Amino acid sequence: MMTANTEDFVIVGAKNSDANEHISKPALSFWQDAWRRLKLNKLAVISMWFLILILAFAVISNIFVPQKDANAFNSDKVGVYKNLPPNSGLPIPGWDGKIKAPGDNASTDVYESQGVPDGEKFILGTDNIGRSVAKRVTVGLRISLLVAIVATLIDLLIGVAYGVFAGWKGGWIDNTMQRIIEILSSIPNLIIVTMLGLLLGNGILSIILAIAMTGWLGMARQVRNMTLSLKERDYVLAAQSLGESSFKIAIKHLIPNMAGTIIVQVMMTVPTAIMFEAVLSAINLGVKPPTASLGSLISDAQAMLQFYPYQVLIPSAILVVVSLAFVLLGDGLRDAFDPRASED
Amino acid sequence: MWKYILKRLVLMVFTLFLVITATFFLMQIMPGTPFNNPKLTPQALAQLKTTYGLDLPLWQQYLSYLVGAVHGDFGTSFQYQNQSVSMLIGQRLPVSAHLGAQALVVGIIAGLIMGAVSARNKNNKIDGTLGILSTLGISVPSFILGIVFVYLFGFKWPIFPVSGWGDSFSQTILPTLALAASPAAITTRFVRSEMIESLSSDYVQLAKAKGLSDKEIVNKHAYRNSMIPVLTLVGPMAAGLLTGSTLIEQIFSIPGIGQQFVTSIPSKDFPVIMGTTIVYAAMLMVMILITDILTAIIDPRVRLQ
Repeated sequence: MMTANTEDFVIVGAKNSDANEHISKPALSFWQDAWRRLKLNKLAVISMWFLILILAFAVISNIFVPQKDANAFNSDKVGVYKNLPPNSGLPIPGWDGKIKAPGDNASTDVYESQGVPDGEKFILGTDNIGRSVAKRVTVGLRISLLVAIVATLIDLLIGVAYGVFAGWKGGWIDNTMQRIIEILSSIPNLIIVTMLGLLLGNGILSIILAIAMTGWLGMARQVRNMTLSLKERDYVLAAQSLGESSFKIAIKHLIPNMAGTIIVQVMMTVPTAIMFEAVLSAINLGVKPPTASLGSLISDAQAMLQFYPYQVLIPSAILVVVSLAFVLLGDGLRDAFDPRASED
Repeated sequence: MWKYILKRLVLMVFTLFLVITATFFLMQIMPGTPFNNPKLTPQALAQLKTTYGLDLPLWQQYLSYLVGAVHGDFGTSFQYQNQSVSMLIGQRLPVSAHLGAQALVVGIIAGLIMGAVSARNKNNKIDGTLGILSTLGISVPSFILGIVFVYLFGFKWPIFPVSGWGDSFSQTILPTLALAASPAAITTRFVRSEMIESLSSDYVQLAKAKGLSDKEIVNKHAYRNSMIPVLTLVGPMAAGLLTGSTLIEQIFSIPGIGQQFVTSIPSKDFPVIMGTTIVYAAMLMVMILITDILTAIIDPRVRLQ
């Protein structure tokens, strides 16, 4: 019979216990991991930088395009400056200050025919009373973003508080709060927004409130579902047994752990808010003229679409591109936070 | 099953009651009625108020409105004299329902096809193109799409008529497409992910092991199972259509209730606003109820919950 001696055995690989413990890749936190995955999604990264630029532009443009400047027009010279087509100063068809009226064969240089002083040109044209579309759109974008972002922040606040409270309390409180959400969400958003718009009147604050009142439902529902599953976790039990208050558990444990879901939901709420602002403008409940928003620019110029399409299409394009960037970034973030969803 | 339907019906009636009550009292505190015209003499004003029943105590007005609403009577329009709101809505409702249904059907069918194609071609160019299209469909509001359509196919290349309703089928094409884009996009995304999931499920593995062809697997097994959950989307999509259709009706001059709703807001025609609001809410709720019941009938798993 053979006896096994330790000397008979040769250690293969794993020379010492330190080598076993060696970590070849740096440990990534949840956020680092999400960021790493987000960076792989080119469209999402482009959208992110684009949105950062747009937001920076909206803030900084306050300095060189104040609202007063964009609203002002020279009432004596409306005839000279009105409805000038976009003019880049370069001979690019459709962007050279010439316009072909429906029925005409040749395009006319409107700048010349209306007697605009030489050298003066409007890169995005002018509107029906001679205000620069470029300035109007700059201010409009600023107002639309302000409305959408503030409304979304209010949604975030109400939605998260409502959702966490309902999910955490459970029982009949949760049940009642769920029924309230059910009832509110079976009323078309358009109606709620219109009613509040009518009640509060025209004005940026009332538009923000009207939009915020409908947007929080989705957030509340998602946060509540997350809370229901998170509150069963061990770390919550541990915090409870250490005597942590419910409020602190919510702030320190629940909300940080559902941050991914919340951020994605926010990204998806902003485009909806931008759209509802435009809808409100179209039904005469938008910002008060002469203030401009993307929505009011679109609906004001819409009647003249056939003759001056640029006045409608420019703000429309900006609205679409900004919404698209939010949706793309939201999609990218969802995949980054929840890799299982995208691995399908 | 019956208990489920009954429960939903009760909740629906209660919600409608809340909507009616809320709209009624909101309208009471709304600033400005067509009656605060300074040119009106006190006698004329009193006369008008008697005509519209506004001289009665509030609770009496509320009660008679509630009773009327249950019978489908929403009072008389301020704007169009002697026209009852229910008649105004009744004339226009079929137009809106036609447009909405057409858009929903076109959108869902397009979405079912595109979603399936996308899933079959997962991660190649076709999938990528459809992915871009559906993202665009989600981010572009229908009224902007409508405006672009009017510009492109009405003015630039006049292929389709851009206004009116009921004279020819071609009038319905542009508004339908503008409204159908978002349901199509939502359905495409949904069907794609549902189908990818069911293609990797056990019963598809079994079907493969049995030696079924790819075509049979997709048609007989994967596709059918991915179609049922689409029903749950109909409710939210109908809500989106409601919002979109008001502006689309305005852009294309379609005489539907959306257009009426929009024109009654600046003129503060409260009876019309209230009536339309209630009809809108009722339509959406019935829509959601029907799809929920259908889902419960088709998918036994829902019934158990």
